[in-house]
Parts: sequence; C-alpha cells; structure tokens
Amino acid sequence: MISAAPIRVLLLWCPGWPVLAARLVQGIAADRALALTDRGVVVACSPAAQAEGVAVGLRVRQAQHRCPDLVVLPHDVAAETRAFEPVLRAIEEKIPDVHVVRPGLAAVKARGAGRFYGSEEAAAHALLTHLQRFTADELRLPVDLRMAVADGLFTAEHAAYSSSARQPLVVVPTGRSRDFLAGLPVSVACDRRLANLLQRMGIRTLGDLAKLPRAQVNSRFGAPGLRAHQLASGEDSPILRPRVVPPELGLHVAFDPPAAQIEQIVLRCEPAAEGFVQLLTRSALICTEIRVTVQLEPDALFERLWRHPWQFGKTEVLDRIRWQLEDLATEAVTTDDETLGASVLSVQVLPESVDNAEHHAQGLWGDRPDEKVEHALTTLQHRLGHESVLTSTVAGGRLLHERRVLRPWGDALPTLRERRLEQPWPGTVPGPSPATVFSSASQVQVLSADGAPITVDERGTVNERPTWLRTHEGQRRIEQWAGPWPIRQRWWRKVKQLNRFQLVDNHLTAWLLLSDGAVWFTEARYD
Amino acid sequence: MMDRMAVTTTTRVAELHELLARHETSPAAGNVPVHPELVELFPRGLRTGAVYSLHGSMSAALALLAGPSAAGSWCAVVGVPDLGIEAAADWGVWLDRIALIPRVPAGEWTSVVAALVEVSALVVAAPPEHISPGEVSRLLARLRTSGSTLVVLGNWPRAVATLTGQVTRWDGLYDGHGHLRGGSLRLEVTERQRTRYADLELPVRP
Repeated sequence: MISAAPIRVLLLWCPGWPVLAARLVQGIAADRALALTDRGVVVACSPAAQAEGVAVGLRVRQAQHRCPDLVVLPHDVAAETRAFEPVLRAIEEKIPDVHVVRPGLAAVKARGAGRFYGSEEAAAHALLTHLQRFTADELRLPVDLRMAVADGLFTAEHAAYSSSARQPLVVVPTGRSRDFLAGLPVSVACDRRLANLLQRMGIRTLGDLAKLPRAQVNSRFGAPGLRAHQLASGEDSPILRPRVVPPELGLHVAFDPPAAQIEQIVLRCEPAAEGFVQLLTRSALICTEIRVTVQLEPDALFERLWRHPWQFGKTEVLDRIRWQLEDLATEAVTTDDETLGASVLSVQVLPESVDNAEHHAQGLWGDRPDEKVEHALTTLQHRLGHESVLTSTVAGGRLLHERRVLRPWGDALPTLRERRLEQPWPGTVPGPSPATVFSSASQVQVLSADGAPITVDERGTVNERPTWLRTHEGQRRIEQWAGPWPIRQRWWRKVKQLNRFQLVDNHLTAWLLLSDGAVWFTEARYD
Repeated sequence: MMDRMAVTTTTRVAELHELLARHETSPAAGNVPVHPELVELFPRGLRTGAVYSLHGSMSAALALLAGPSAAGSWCAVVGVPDLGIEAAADWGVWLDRIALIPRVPAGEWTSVVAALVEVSALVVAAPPEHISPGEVSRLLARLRTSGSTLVVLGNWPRAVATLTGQVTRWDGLYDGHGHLRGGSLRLEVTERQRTRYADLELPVRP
C-alpha cells in the first residue's frame, strides 16, 4: 500500500486559480468583485470580493447582499482544467512528467530536476523564473506562484500553503515532514467527521496524532485513521502519476476542388477514417462520441454530435458522415438525392469523448450485443434509414407516449438520470400499463345516451354520463368509466388543460382517452 | 507506455473473444422458452422454425416476447408503432434486447423479417395486407434454418397454431369512479383443430 519512503516532490501552487481561470476565460477585469458558485454556495472569490465581505461558504444571496455588483459565475472545473493546460506545458518545457493534483496545483519529481540544476532550490528557482516570465508574456496576467519541495504530495502541498508572496519557496528537508506537519490541525489529513471526533478527544494537531501508536489508531479509527496517521508521520504515497499528453486524434479531409457528391465524399474520407480508428486502437482508447463538422462552400458549417453506445469503428464513422450529408441533401432542395445543394470544402471528425479501452473490455460480452445481431441490425438500418431501426427504454413523464423513449439503433439511450424515472410524476396512470400506446393521436367521439357529445368544463365537471365511444372502427357502449383526471401540461396541441379518462367498453377493451374539453383522443388501449 | 497498454488490451480482447466463442450455443437447439405463466399452454416452449398467428391481444404478444427475452435472447418487433414499452418491461421483457422496426414498406416486409429471424429468437410482426404465396414459402424456408419463431399479428396461411387473446374481466373500474387494478386475459391456442386455453392475471407478477 503506502511504503515508508515517499519521493521528493517539487510542487507548484497558484493561489486562487479558480478565480484566475474564470477571469482568463471570461475576460473579467482584475478589480471586479467575482465569485464562483456551486449549488448556490460561494466556492471561490476574488480579492475585491473578499474586501467587500464575501467569503467562501456563503450563500449566493447573502454574498450578493454584501456586495451588490458581484459577478457570479458557476464553478466550471472543466474550463479551469483547460486554462491550466498552458501552465502545465510551460512546466514541461523545464521538467518533464507533470502530475496534476487539481487545476492550480501541479507536481513533478524533484530528484532528477535537482540533480540537473545542482540542487532542489536551484531547480525550483529555475522553474519559478521560467513560469513568471511565461505568465507575464503569455497569459498577460500577474499570477501569484508558490513552490514547495518536500517528501510526498501531502507535505509539499501544505508547505506550499505556508509560503508567502515575499517568500514563494518553502523547502522541507528529507525526513523532516513530521516536524513540519506537527503544528497543523488534524482536519487537513482527514474528513470532517473524524476531525471532529479527534478534536473532541483532545487530539488537535497532526503532531498529537503522530505521537499515538499506529496500531491503536488503526483499531480505533479504521482505515481513515490509519491514513491520517501515516500522513501525519510524513509517510505519503510514493507514486506520482505523470499526465498523459493526449495525442492529436481526429480526422480532417479537405476537398479541392469542392465536392458535392455524397458517395464521392464518403469514399474520399475512407482512408482517413481508417487511420482515425487505427490511431485510437494504438492509443488503447475507445471513442463513444464524435463531432462531425462539414464545411460548406458559401461559408457555412454543419455540425452534429453522434453518440455510439460501444465504440466507433471505421464503418460507423463513415456511416455518420454519410447520414449527416444525406440530411444536408434533404434540406437542400435538389432534384437528385445524391447531390448536395452546396459544395463541401472539408469534413472533420473529432472524438468528443474517449475512454480507456480496458474499461470497456467487459462490455464485449456483457452489455454489447453479439456481432451477428449488431451486423444484421446495422445492415437493416442501412436499407431502411437511420430512424427505422430503434431501441427503447422507459422514462419519466405524465403522458404515456413521453414515457416511451425510442432511439435509433446505435445511438446511446438516455442514462438513468436523464430518464428521471424515480421522480414523482403526478398524474401518471395507476394500475397495469397499457399494451398499446398510440404513437399518434386519433380523434374519437364520446357521446351520451342520447347521442350528444360529452364535454368537460374547466372545473372538471362532465356534463353527462359517457355512454357511447365512437372510433373509426365502430361504436361501442361504455360499461365502466372514471375521470376526469387532470394533466397540467402541453400535449400535441397547445391546450390549457387535458383530462384523462379511463373506460371499459362492451367488448371488454379498456381505453385511456384524453380530452381538452370538447375534442377526444385515444391515448392508449389495454388489450 | 502506450505500446504496452495496446498489447495488454489486444491480448485481453483476444481472451474475451475466446470466452465468447466458448459460451455461444449452437442455434436451433431446442425450442424458444416461454414466460412461466404460459408454460401450461406451451409445455415445451414455442416451436422453432414455426409461425404462430396471434389475434386480438397485444398483451399476449408481450407475454410471448418475455420468455426468450428473459432467457437472454434477442427479439424483434416489426410493424408495430404503438407498442407499449412500459407494459413490455412489466412483463419482464429486456428492453435492451429488443429491436423495433416500427414501419416497414410493404415490399420489404419479407426480407426484413427474414433478416431478423436469423439473429433473434422471436420475431413479432404485423403482416402487410397482401403477401404472395411465394414469399410465404421463402420466409418459411429461412425460418426453418434459423432456429427462431415468428409470431404474426393477424392471419397467416401456414401457421402451426392460432392464438387468440381476449380479456375476460377488468377489476377496479366502476361507473364514474375507481381505476383499473387488474384483470384476466384468456389466451386460447388452436392447434390441429384442438383448442386449449389459459387465464393470465393482469398485471403479471414477475
């Protein structure tokens, strides 16, 4: 697990990186009060905001109350990571194999660099000067940079926090982590519950914790306690995982002269698609989402995101290109189906989400249908069209046709969260589910005993007992019925309120009908 | 680093392919399994390579789909745009092993069904209005070699059995109040001029 000899780490910390990154990305001036929020709580704020009394942990409303001209932005970790990328590249120019702890915090192994530059301090200073020049020239932003050299990430991180703007480098000598950490509160090494417990027991600093015998700490507090004790004793994980520089994936085919025939374009893309898939395989990656961009001659881009539940192969990529071009062709009014209205300058395919292939190895005979099925259905899809072969799932919703989710074969179905099944859906039909749910509404007539149409007023009162149901198949007598059950939502037609009725006719067929007051539609049939 | 990862992935993929090959059973082995509620009607399951003609009830079609689907086979539904997906799930149909082809041009129907019987254990299909005897024989020939069963929603000239579903009772709904809680579905099977039936309780309890 954790060996007793953590490696020497040279760590870079940019204080307030979230705010800096947001300013970089959004182009906000340095003197503006800025706060980043996550789920209604401030998670980071600029010095100007701090001066106004805004603090981390405050609710957004309170923060805005204290500082009315506060700029509030959502905390976007992805953007922050992207903004940190140039800094990482600048570090790599000096010292290779950067480990990203989180945006704003990066580490490299200190030993090699220390040997190269003569000493750890010299290496840190060299990197610091390089980065200061880089941030001033490239980012055009005064970035506060702090450095620390220590045993293991944990100690280095806290050493960096103890630095100041005047003294940006802190070096903790080898084997002295324990002494350095002794003064820190226990809360830095464990979660809030354990910290609370330790404090109530009178163990307030890491020094106090490190003095206790490890075996007893382990038996009393379990794994989190053991981990905290190890950290307090200066025993950190000896591993530093360097980031993997993503190779330039993607496919780009330019057409000169511009092409307008779909077949011709797809054919020209084929070798590139082959290369694209090979590159993915070589990198042991699996691509489940691609963005296909078609550039048209009169300066227009046609972009679309395609998802795949397993992974894109060569034919799948080419299919998506073809389908997208076919969509373009149907949009453009031309006499020939195979010709586009405009000429295509270039086709670009970018992988949007890639994953390590090993995570998907199980899928080969778990989730993924076997090759025969996949091949047969894909062939059918080619013949009948992309939207003709479907897969299905059940989602949340009030109307039955909303609860049925259909997606073209090969497209990913919505995730469990997107389906929102567990949410309460007032107005859903209790009892057994109908076996037939009409995909399009057909109008029917519901009549009283003397043949007058039944109406429902705004307060949900039915003018007479529904007695006859007249569909295009004929007239049936209504034996039992219940309703109206109001649904407050828009349906195919924009109406204020829909009422649902359930009824059983004399053939013992049960129906679900929808009525907007005067007009009746069939929604589903129990048969 | 990259190369090593690629090599381990390749070997792992090869191993999994081997496992897959070992687990794959030969087609046409035995009959298509049925839902526990239908065992009484079809003690040995549905006959592979045969066509059943089903009238009157979509629930009965879902019940037939539930058997092979629960056994892990793929099924397909052709020409039924109004299929109640939720009811299918209630019957125990695995939705991720069902392919839906809701609308098929009449001229393509035979070839689409023929392609689907090759890969699925059960195909439920609503037939086009007219189908030539030649097409019927061609489809039957494909069906026999495939080890799958076809359930046609409607009349079929050479069906081994005719199934009729009819609801005989609904519970819970009254004159102006209540709601459907359940009911009873009678499924009749006419095979070689003999009729047998079973009553299924709705909703079915898996």
